[in-house]
Amino acid sequence: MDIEIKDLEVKIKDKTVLKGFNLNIKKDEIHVIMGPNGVGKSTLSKVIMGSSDYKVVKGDILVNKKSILNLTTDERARLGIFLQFQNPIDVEGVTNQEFLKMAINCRRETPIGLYDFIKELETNYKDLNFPKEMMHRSINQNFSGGEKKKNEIIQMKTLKPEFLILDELDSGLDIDSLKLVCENVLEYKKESKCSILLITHYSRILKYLKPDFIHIVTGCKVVKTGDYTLAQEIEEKGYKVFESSAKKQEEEKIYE
Amino acid sequence: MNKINVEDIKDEEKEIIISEDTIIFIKNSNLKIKYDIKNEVNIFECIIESSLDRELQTENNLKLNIFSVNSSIKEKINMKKSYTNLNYAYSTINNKNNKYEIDINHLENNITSKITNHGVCLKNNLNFTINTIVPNESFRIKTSQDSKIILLNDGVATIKPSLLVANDDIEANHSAYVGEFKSDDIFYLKTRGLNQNDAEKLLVKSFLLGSMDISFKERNIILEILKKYWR
Repeated sequence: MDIEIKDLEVKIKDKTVLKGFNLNIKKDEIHVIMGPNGVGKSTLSKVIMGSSDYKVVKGDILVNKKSILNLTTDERARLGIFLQFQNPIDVEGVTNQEFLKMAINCRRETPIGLYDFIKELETNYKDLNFPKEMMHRSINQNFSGGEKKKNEIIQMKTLKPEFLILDELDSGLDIDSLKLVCENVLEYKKESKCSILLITHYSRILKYLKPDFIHIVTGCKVVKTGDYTLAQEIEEKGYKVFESSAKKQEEEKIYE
Repeated sequence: MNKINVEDIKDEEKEIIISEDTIIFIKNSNLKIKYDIKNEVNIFECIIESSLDRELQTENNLKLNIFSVNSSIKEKINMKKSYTNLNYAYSTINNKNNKYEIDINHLENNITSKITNHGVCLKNNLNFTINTIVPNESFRIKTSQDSKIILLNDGVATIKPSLLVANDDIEANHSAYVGEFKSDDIFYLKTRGLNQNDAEKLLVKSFLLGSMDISFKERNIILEILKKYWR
């Protein structure tokens, strides 16, 4: 799936949260967005999914060259976009299994057979080193932060999206779990050729996912794009140096 | 397990003695009823399109799970023995004007009660009045009441939670919420491909069943009723 974000400007109430935001993600590529807190990284993920909290006032989001701005959140999901949440909700009284079955069936004309569904789910639970009994437990209820992240990846593998947005996948995961989750994401990418947008603060996840591009976001837009070496630069210098250089560029532009 | 069926009985007074785990179905009835509970039991009850004025008394631990549709219930529970527990979960879905009033009387010492009331109001009015009563003579009572009503469409709802406590040596708390489902919860489910209807259906199911301590079979009974009367 190709994703193109063109000159996007987004507001929440009267506050501008993204402005002049551009990003091109091609099929089978991994892009990473890094930046300090509160610059609109997670906002971008919710805007792509069509959250009604945000208003797109300018620009466009294209999927395979077609605008998705008029699609509802569920239509975008059924198109093949998957958002892994930073803090997934828990739903008491509804099991992971029945939720996923409902989510699969809303993508199909005929309901999935029980045998195929359970077989698929058991494989995915096993891949994430999760006891299969967890599929009978309420969605995310009493799950630790790490278990919630693993459960998101189980959902992803079961729903088979073409574009993954991974919002701080690394938070809450210990080093072994992070490695396991990343292996699963990469394996899925290899099979499906999906495109990935990863949002993170830290570079430790990048050594497992090996991104094609890294974008630094400050001041509501992308200020610098580079390869993995950019992440190392951030580790050494922090974000402040990029913030001040972006500010300088902006001032020069106004002056011209 | 004992099973009691009450259907199409209007303006009658009944007294039932319950001494084992029991499933009770009350449908299209208008009753004044008294439950005398003799042992430690679990009661699962479905009340459909009915009106009930009930008094329930027990000297034992009691677990009561009630599911109702379009019903009005006036209930008085008398806990009459020390060192007993009451686990009471009430879930209801309504599109008519319905009232639910409950008094929980702690008539002895060292009684623990946990009262959970969950309602979904589809339209018209749904009113909850929950009175936790601890008289002056009762000591060391632990009691909590948690009430929520979710509004879907054009419903109007009120909750009046009261802790009527006449003693110092008591641990009592209450919470009440009337409103819609959180938009973040709906958004999460939609990001998995569920449309508004399916997302609401899942959250209603979760909200009504989540607070109840029931078996798989009892859960399926509720789901069948929900399918028939709602979606």
